[in-house]
This record gives sequence, structure tokens and C-alpha cells, in this order.
Amino acid sequence: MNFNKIGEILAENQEFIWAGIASTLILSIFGTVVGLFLGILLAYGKLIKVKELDNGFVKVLKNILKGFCIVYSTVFRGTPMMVQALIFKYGFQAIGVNFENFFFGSMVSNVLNGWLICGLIVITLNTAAYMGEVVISGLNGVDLGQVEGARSLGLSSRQTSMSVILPQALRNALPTIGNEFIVNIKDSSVLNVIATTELYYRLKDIAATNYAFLESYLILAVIYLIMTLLAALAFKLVEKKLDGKKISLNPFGRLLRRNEV
Amino acid sequence: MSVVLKIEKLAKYFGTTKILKDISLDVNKGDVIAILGPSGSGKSTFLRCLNLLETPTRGKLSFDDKAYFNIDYCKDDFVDYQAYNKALEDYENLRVEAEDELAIYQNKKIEGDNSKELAQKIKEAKKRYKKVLSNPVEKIDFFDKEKYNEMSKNSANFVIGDKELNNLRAKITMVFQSFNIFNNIDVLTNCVMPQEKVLKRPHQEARNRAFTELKRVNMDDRMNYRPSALSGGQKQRVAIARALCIDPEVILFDEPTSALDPEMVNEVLNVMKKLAQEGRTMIVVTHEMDFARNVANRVVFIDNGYIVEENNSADFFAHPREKRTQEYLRFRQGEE
Ligand SMILES: Nc1ncnc2c1ncn2[C@@H]1O[C@H](COP(=O)(O)OP(=O)(O)O)[C@@H](O)[C@H]1O
Ligand SMILES: [Mg+2]
Repeated sequence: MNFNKIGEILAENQEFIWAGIASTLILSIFGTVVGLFLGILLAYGKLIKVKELDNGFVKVLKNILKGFCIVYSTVFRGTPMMVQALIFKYGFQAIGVNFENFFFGSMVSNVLNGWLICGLIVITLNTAAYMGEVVISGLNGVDLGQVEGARSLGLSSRQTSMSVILPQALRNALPTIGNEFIVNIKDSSVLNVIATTELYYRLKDIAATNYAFLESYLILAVIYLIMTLLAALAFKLVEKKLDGKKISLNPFGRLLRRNEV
Repeated sequence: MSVVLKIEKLAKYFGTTKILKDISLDVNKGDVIAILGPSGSGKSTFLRCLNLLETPTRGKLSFDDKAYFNIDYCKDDFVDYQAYNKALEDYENLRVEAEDELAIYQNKKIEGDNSKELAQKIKEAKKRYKKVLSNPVEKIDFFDKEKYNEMSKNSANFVIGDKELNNLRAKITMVFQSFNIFNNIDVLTNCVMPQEKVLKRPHQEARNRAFTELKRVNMDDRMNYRPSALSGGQKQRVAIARALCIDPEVILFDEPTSALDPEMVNEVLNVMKKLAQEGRTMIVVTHEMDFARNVANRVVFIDNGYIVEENNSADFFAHPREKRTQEYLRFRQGEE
């Protein structure tokens, strides 16, 4: 292995590497945020209660919705994202949508191309299925007394959900959501099979053109590691903020406090 | 004296058991009613029925002379539950018997008996077992449909709509044993948010009101704390302040001090005493005899789902009429 080679590769391919980082971040952030939103809907869909008193039409509608949510989450969690990506790619082609034709200006075309869009769709739909489960277990963790407390003050069931239950469920789920985000940073690499130009795809390219495989993949590993560590740190800060604690970016903060006591 | 809350023949079934048995009670404005009774006697269920956190099976509830729940007859009233429960028991015995018989023969087979007679016996036992299972006890068989139809023909059947119910719950609000203050927001927001959402009060006005009520319960120095940073007694005082913020006419307390460490009980009881002196209408399920004796003006003793005895608190403690009451009071006093 050649350390100079690593420096060389970095210097020569800066632009591509940054483009790869940008794609991977777009994929993982968008996938996690929108996936979470869809996951919330999915969770509520799966938790729909069909009541005996509902009239026939409502019953049918509820059953269809609930059934859809259950099937959706089973299918997306039970198949690899790589396979989902391929099916989406060729599925879209089959109905005449060709992502190759999607371009957004010349300058950013390196990042924002059609295959990124396809990748975004896949990673979002895939994440949603997992987030559904994450949200459900978050909801299960909320004390039933919180609902009674809210209802007994006159809050409607919708207000109770939005202002009391969901925030607590998401807070409970935050560590798992952060985990999903980190998984997305790493697993978005499988989208290279549909030519989404994320980080792994870029480094694979660089490795082949420079004939420097080990060096390129070491660079790749270090970049992923930095990204996942930063993501974990960001989530820790968000957790603290949500718990109403003061955030200190001073790395000596804890040390100082211990000395004060 | 005006009646704010009128409770007539309130009944509640859970499954096949009648947990509340025709409870009637008039709550006057300014009443502080202590509800005493052994645990499992239905006190919480009674309280929860009053703001429809639990839906009663039957009965009439009126607030300020306006009924918000009124169901004269429920199907359960026309089910012969005594016979039904008996039949359920018999059925269960038969089932177990048949199952055991079958199991005995099957074990013999496992042990290596391959005789034809045994096979025949197993076949018959299976048949008997299936026959038992195919004749389950149905509630409907014990339901007097004719009488129900006859009686309920012109009877009342009214439950308040969801929207009005929410407004009503602000009028008849509840304080819980487990506090149930919102964990995701701080003390001040706990008090402000319900005012904004339920009463549509402007933010500033809601804040001012929250300040006032938190001061009343001595929690104004902890306004920006999260519930997780409070002691039980502090949480309960916040819960009371939060309830006061939405202008309730009646406050229901369900064992507000039972989950507290002994040294915190008084800080909550003192707040409640202050409210009582201000003339608020309160119904308090409690095991605190001193509170019932000295703060409440009326005492209701519930056992086994009905009101055993009801009196003004002085007479209740001085001359308990019923034997059950006397036993209960002796038991409580022995405890103290
Ligand atoms: N949701 C429920 N489902 C079935 N049974 C219940 C339910 N809630 C209470 N019960 C039963 O009703 C009886 C009265 O309970 P409760 O009102 O909590 O009594 P108390 O508050 O006096 O201790 C108990 O036997 C309890 O098991
Ligand atoms: Mg109780």
C-alpha cells in the first residue's frame, strides 16, 4: 500500500468525492426525514381499530387501509433494498419512465441526476417501512395515563395525538431513528446497482480508473466513518435539546462540571 | 343549594360483572365529597364514568340540569347474569372433564397401548369433547329480548357528542393518582397548552392564568422544569394547577395522594384544603381519613359497586349506620 497514492487520489478526485458525499447525504437525510413522515402514517394505518359500531362503508375503508399498511411494511422489510432498487428501476422503465433522461442543469448534473431521484424513491419507501415499526414501538412506550390526562382536560383525540402522544413517541424512538439514519448513510451504497452516483459508486469508479483498490476503499471507509460519527453526535445533541437540557459544545464542559462539585 | 352534577341509577358492566350497581347521587355546588371504600369496590370506575372517560352501561348524568348521558335500559339489564355465570361455570366443568378423559386415553396410547378398544375409546372421547365444544354458552340465551324491546321502546338513549363532550370534560375535570402531567413539555406549558387548545384562550392570557394557578399551588418557582425533574408531590400540584387553569366547575380526584411518599402527602392535601375553603366543588376518592373528616362536608362509602352509606362527614364518622361502614372505619382506624 502506498500512502502517497492516497494523497494523490484525494487531490485528483476531490470534485467526485465531494459529489459522492453530497449524494449520499441527500439520500440519507431525505430518506430518513420523509421516510419518518411516511412511517408515522404507516404506524397509524397499522394501528387502525375497526369498531363494531362503524358503518359498513367505514369498516371496508378501514380494513383496506390497514391491510395495505400491513402488506406494505411486510414486503419492504422482507426484501433487500438492492432488489427493491432494481425492481423500481426496471419497473419504471417498463411503464415508460426513464430516469436517464432526467437532468437538472449541467453544473450539478453530477449529483442531481435521474438515478438519484430513483434512489431517493427507493430509500424513502424502504425507510418508511422500518420507521413504521419504530414509531409503533415508540407509541407503545407512551404511558396510557398521558392520554387520560389529556382527554380529561377536554383535548380531542387528535389534539392529544399531536401535542402529547406523538411527540413523546418520537422522543422515545429518537435513538432508533438516529440508528436508521446511520444505516441509511451506509446502506445507500447498495443503490449503486441502479447507477445512483452516491459515495461508494464514486470511489468504485476512482478505484478502477486509478487501479488503486485498497487505497480507494480505505478512503471510502474513513469517509463513511466520519459521516456516521458526526450523525451520531448530531442525534445526541438533538436528544439533549428535546429533553430541555442546555447544549454545550465545549468538550471540557463535563470535565469542568465535575471539578466544580 | 343548587345541584351541579346529578347522577341517577348509574350502572357499569365489565364483561359479565356489574361493577357499578345503580349509583345515584346529587352533587351540590360547593360540595366536597369524600368517597371511601375498599380497593376494587368501583370508586375509580365511578369517578371515570362521571366525565365519560369510561362509558357507563346505563344511567343518567346531568350537569347544570342538562343531561349529557341518558340511557334508561341497557341490554345487560335483561340478561340473567346469575344463570349465565352458572351456565358458564357448568360448561367449563364439562369441557375440562371431557378434555381430561380424552387426555387419559391419549396418554395410554403414547405409552404403547395399541389395542382396538383404546382406539375406539379415543374416538368416542373425541366425539364427546367436540360435542361439548359445539354447545358453548351464549349470552343471548339468557337475554330477555321481549322484555328489553318492550321496556326500551320509548326510553331515553342519549350520549353527548364528541365536541360537546370535550367542552364538558373541561367543566368536570380529573386529577389522577399517577399525575399524568405531560412529560414532553415543561410545567408552564403543561398549564398553558390545554387552555389554548380547549378554551381557545390567547397565549398571553393563558400564560398569565398559568402563573396565577402555579402560584396558588406554590409551583411558580419551577415553571421551566420538566416533569422528570419534579418530585411526586410537585407533579401532583402541577396537575392540580393545570386543572384549575381550564375553569372546571367540578374537580374529580382519584386517590391524589396514594402514589406519594408520606412526606409529600401533606403538601398536596394542603392545596386541596385551600381549594375546598374557596368553595370549589370536589369529589375526592381517598384513603385519607383526616381529609374526609375535616375537609369534606359529605362522605360516601362505596362497597361492592354500590353506595352503602352516605352522610354529612360529621355524622358519618360519629354515627356510622351500616355494619359494613363500621367495620371499614374500624379497619382504617386500626391502620392509623
Ligand atoms: N377496564 C376494566 N376492565 C375490566 N374490569 C375492570 C376494568 N376497570 C376496572 N375493572 C374492575 O372493576 C372493579 C372496580 O375497579 P376500580 O373502579 O378500579 O376499583 P377501586 O378504584 O375502588 O379500587 C375491579 O374489580 C376491577 O378489576
Ligand atoms: Mg381506584
